[in-house]
Amino acid sequence: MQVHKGVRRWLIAAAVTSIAAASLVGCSSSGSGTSATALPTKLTEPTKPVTITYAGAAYSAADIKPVIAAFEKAHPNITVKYEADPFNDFNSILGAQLSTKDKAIDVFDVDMPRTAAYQARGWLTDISSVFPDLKSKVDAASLAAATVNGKLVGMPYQSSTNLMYYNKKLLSAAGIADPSSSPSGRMTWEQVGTDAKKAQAAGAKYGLVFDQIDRYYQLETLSSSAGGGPGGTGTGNLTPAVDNAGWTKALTWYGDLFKDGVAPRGVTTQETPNLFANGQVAFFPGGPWWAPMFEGSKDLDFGVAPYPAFAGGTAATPTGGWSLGLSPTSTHKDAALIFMKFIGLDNGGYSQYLTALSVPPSNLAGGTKFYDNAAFKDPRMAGVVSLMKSELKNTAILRLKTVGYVEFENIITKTYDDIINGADVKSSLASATTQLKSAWATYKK
Amino acid sequence: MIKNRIGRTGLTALAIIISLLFLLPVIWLIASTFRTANETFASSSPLSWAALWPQHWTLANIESAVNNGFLQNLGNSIFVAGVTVVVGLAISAMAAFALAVIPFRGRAATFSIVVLSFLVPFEAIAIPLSQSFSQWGLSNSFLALILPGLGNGLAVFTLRQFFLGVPPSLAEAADMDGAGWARIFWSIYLPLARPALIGAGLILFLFQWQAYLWPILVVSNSNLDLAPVAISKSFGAFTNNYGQVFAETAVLAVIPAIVLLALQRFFVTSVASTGSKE
Repeated sequence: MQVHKGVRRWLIAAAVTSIAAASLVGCSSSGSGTSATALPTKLTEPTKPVTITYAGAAYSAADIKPVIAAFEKAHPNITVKYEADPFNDFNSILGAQLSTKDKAIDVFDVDMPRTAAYQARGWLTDISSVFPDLKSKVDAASLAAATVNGKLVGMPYQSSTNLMYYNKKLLSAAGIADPSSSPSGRMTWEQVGTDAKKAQAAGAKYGLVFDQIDRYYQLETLSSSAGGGPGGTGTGNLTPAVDNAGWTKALTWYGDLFKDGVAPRGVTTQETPNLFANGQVAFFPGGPWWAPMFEGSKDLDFGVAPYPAFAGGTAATPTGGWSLGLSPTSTHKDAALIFMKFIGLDNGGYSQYLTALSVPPSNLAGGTKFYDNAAFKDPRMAGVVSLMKSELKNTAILRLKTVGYVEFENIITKTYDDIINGADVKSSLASATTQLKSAWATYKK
Repeated sequence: MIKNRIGRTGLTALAIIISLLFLLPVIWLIASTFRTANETFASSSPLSWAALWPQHWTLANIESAVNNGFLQNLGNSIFVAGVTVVVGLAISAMAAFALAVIPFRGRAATFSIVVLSFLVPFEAIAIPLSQSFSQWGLSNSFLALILPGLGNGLAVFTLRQFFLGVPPSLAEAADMDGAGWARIFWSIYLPLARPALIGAGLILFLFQWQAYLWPILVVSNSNLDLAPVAISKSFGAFTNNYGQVFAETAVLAVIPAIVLLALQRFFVTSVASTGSKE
């Protein structure tokens, strides 16, 4: 059937939202988001062969393969069937699959900020009794992200951080000195904006391009640094707080980048790393996982600097990643929990077996191998390891923790897009507030 | 006369220029298949001739697509679309024949339901339908991928409209010669309907060829992934491979283009040659 692409996207979104809403109504009557089935207090290895299904999107099937192979070697009676979903649609697909009470899925990736929303929909299992002492084993932010109302509902396995890449050639052409890689030499966004314009005048195609150009994951740091907070407040963070001075300041600054042509309009998040990789961008705040791609561009001379902050504001860097959730309908909870323990805890966790560079693991002991990755030894990445460690410890902020996160992210992404395209910041934020009030009313009843 | 010729030459030139403009994105897509993603992005903005011709040719994108199992995904897409076209055409043609030619009580109401069925976007019913498929144990099978494509209201509608245009005297003559409905359908209507069947076949083909939401919902086994789903899986949380995506998309776009070009002469065939002198 021929449906216009934009219309189709809306229809998909509407269909998915309605099914999610329906399932929420369905489970709110039961009052509890978790299964009544008792969990084993002690994990016992299955004596007969068992296959568990793991639905994920954080890694491709090829990337996760060595991890699963190591698990199956250590637990010969458990086979893991990995079902990779497309990352961009993962949250919608997973919602649709889990709301069918599809018994096929035992374990699945949980995008950390969605934990509370999934818990409320009844898609997660309280695993506090099985893993009572995670505090000493995983980083505090990851643990907080996987905990809802004091209950551990996911096994956090992966965290993240950001830094700022800069193109040395473009900066030197504009007579700008290379920024320091030390957190004490952190630039201000105001200065980066000014330098970006200079670099552009001296030949850079774009001055400053954010990795996740319209995603809350990265842009939340702007409003937080400007004192605007994460966007929600009050009981359950269900009172919109995006219509304040901090958000207005941050997004006015961000919108001006596009108005002045310092950043490009019409570019999607998937395209931004390529723009930096081919030498068109002076400053690129982004994830360390792009290091191999940038290092692969032999003509690209770049360096890394701390993620900037607003003058007079607090430093804020994005963090949070993925947890593993246990489906309440799983019929192989024992085996699934053994798998979750392997990924999150055993011998430093999954990252010990992962060959592709990604992001820091949540497991405190498991970080060594990640930081030892060859990609960080390239001279162009000098200083990145101590920088990442420092940012994770001191400046990392989680995304808004609320049961209404799914709606929040949708509305805020649209608001960012409007502002990028030139809409007035104040009225866009006022409109976002109205939409959030209406979307969150369901949860306040 | 000369004025006419100049006018015609001018129009032809204009037509050629406009067709070339339509071709530009396709040429860009094919060129991007044979160069690195970085080169594609570097040459695409500002737009220059370099965007349409690779500076450094490479087969790495195609290799990467093949190594990633894209041929299997493509095979799945061809199989699903092929079965849908054959079985779907049989069903749609019979339904359209009944709705156009055979008089029966409730025909208008049945036809209204068929029309309504294709006015409801498939995406709107995909999720509840996928839940039913899951309950029926049909998930993760070719059957699950093919079934929703078979009963296509638009294909039935197109064929019915065509059958209505066939002079009833042909059926009446066959009836007088003792032919039953099945014989009339098979020997008279179907052979006449070749252009309409090709049109309806394309509707069925494109429905499956472009399918994305439905395959994601009912198939989780990557061996059964259709090509569009496989392409979208090239974008991970921490990786992207635009070169491979360009190569895969080019192949995915070229196949229907070949099908359309090969069958285009049938579209212009009309019912004028039915043999009736009405």
